[in-house]
Amino acid sequence: MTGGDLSKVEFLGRPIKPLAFAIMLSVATVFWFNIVLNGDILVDTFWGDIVGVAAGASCVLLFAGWWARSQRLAEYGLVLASGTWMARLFTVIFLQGWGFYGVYLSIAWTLACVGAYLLETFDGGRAMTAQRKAAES
Amino acid sequence: MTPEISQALATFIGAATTVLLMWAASMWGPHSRRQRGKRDEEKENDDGDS
Repeated sequence: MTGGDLSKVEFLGRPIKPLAFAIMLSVATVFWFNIVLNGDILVDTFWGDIVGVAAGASCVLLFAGWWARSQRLAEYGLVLASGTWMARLFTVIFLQGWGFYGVYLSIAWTLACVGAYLLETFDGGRAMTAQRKAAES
Repeated sequence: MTPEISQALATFIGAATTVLLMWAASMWGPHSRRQRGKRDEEKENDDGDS
């Protein structure tokens, strides 16, 4: 149980992390529209593709972390999502300026990702204790 | 600034954010050496009390 979990609620025997689930969908969107459909969420260059692939990797890590009940994988997924959304934020600031609504949506997603990462990571060691207890039992 | 340079710079900022967050977690998070030392110290104190 970490700061990002819904208390006493499980799905398929796994904790529910609503914020992490929303973030997983958001990075899946970045990956799908940027890499698969070659859309314009990011600039279609090598560097834009790197961010798109990072978004896909983040989505996979978040799902794998949830499925395998791995706190470490979930944390890696969230930190990668934070970097992805920060990159998207500065892309729209540089290209569209502060008058574009996408800037504020990206700020919101960046804050959500960083906040979720902090909730998962700085939880006073609760997640580590829970994992150790699960391993011992 | 061209779109290519903008994207490269933004990617660099995103990567820097990722590294910064991981560094902060390694310094002050529960996996950090500092916190581990504190936990071990508390555990020793608990063992000593009982």
